[in-house]
Amino acid sequence: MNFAARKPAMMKLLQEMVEVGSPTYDRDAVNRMGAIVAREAARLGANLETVPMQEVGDNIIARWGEGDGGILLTAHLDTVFPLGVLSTMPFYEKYGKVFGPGALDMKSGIVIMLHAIEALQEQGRMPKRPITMLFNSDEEMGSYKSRGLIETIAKDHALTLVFEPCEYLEGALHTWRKGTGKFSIKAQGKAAHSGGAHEKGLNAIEELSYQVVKVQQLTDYEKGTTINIGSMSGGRAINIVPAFAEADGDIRFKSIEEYKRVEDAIKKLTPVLPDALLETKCNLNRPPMPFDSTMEETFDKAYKIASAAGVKIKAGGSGSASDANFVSQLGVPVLDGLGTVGEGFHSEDEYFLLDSLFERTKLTAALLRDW
Amino acid sequence: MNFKKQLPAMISFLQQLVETESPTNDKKAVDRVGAILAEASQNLGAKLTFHPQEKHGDHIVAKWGEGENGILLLGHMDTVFPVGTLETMPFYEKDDKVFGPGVFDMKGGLVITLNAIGALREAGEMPDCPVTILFTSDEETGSAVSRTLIEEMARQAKLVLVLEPALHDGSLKTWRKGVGNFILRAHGHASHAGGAHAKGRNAIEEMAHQILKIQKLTDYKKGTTLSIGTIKGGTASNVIPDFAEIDIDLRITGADEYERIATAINDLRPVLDGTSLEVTGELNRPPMPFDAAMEATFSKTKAIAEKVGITIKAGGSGGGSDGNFIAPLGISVLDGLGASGEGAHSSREYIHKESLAEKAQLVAALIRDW
Repeated sequence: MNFAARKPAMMKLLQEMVEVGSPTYDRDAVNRMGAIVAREAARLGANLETVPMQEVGDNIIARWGEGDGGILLTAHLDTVFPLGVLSTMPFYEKYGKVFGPGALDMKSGIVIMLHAIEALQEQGRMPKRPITMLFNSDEEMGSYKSRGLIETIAKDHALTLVFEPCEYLEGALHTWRKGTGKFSIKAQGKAAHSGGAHEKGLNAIEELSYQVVKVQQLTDYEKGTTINIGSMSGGRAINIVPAFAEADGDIRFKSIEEYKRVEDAIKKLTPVLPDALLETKCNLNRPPMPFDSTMEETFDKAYKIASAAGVKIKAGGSGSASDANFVSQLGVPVLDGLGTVGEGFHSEDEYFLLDSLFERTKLTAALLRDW
Repeated sequence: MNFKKQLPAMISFLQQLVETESPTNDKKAVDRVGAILAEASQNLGAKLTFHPQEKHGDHIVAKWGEGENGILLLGHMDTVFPVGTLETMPFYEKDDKVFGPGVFDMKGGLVITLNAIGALREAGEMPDCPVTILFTSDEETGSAVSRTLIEEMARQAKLVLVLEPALHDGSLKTWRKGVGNFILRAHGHASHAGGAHAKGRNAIEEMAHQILKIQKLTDYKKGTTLSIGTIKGGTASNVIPDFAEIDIDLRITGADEYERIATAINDLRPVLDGTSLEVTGELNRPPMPFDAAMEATFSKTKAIAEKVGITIKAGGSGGGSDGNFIAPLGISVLDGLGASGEGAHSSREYIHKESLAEKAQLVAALIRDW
């Protein structure tokens, strides 16, 4: 099968999808993106089911065939880019790279999924196993609303393939991922006029600064646990002692024990300044995806199938989490990073390597056919 | 001169001024107050000079008499309250208090000075020396476009009376702290918190270390206080923040404290590898000390006040005013001649009605008998 010959059709579909912006918080925009995907899946003979959602775009399930032992392919419809960004960040191809908001993460992955099926159909080589595609709408904001659906569907499948892009240019698949969590710390003090009543005030920014320094020490690079305070704000005006300040942060970890250590430390924070008050929140978003025995087996099998099809794949890890993290928790075989290879995630320089689009479609077709 | 009888008229005029809202950054609004004051001054026989400003209200000089070495009264027309504040904070009277945005800081003072001059003219008791009112437009934001004019006019006077509000118990302000401000910026290195945490340099963490150092510079014994007022930094929680910024409020009682604090802040060094710091700052208003000159001014004021049956007290303030600029020039200056009350810059701002009449009587006596 000559996948490079599919270029015009693949690029046309990708451009259409990229140019329909789909920021997570805009459910109408995400639904417009979903409509394109549904249209293509229907064209390929899928049985479509829309799972309507309230605050986010609808989730979409496309099914080919019935029965057990199916393969699930997952992708998210949403991106981090707001509408209107196309004027400064257009879709274009140059020197073997393809640019555009959400092209790398992860609309090219969706093109891979659909074209792998189409290629197999053209060749009359669709597998006997049922194939399911699940498109969710809120991955970039944590998949809080779609997590349940992903887990329910993945449980019934023999293999889940997640089409997130590779994290580094060396193009390794993701065979382990860190877990993610979020926390916030709010400090409350007492407002007072900085000139006339300084001693009556209690500086919430000072209190919070003590806590920021403490929390940042929780990082342990050896264990792979990192904490990042990403934003901080507080106070009303220069001449008022600030009564309020808050900071938000991010936690990454390779084990649940490490998450618990950090969560515990955050929940146990106590005010340093007398009479200051603290309010802390800490939540686990995605559990870690370890390179356990299931993953080792799954990757070995994929490696053999890929080799036979003339594709070299590598195992690798990522400091970021994806929906694969949820599936791996269930003990279900999962492989991630089946998408394109590129750089500049979430930035205006985001791009993927065109060659990886064809190679990954070839890989996917082989995995679906030969698993 | 019966000031108690004037009270209803004073309150009525005060209402007109308060209900013409005048936030510093709204030139048209401040000019509207200016127009009312210009007309009132003109009706009292003043000669007017305007000092037009581009982005602020025009300063207005109202002068009675000719020449130099007279009495200068200083007041500002701007307030801290945005247009529309009246909707939730209307002008109203209750018992012995009058409420409203800027009623205390300092439209009460503007009414007092015009009333004092009006009464003196009616009684034929204006002094031989010239009497001048300077109405400025940007005191609440630091007097950047009025400072020069204030200092120029003060140099030509023998006495400057600042009509800023009195203390709650009516005390005048015979000392004020100096006011300075700094901005400290911390620069780090952005990176994705998941994939490249170790490459980042967290500017917020760096800033937290510096904040703790700066807050320790406060020395209540010396009368030096620092307060970090606001902080902002970072963007998303999954990006190592490469930028954070704070502003710092400084109050000093001793003039040499500015040098010491500015040096301490400029000497701050980054704690984290790979971050850098950037400082800008200035002494906005020098301290106004209760020194020998102030003591002499206050004694003379006390004597004049007693003759008309008024007891006055000395007091001080951690807040600055335009009086701070005049003290270093060696000119006699007295502050807090405005109404007494509480709640400056807040929704609770009010004055004591009676203080309008009391202070007008005091100001008139000072103008006549200095």
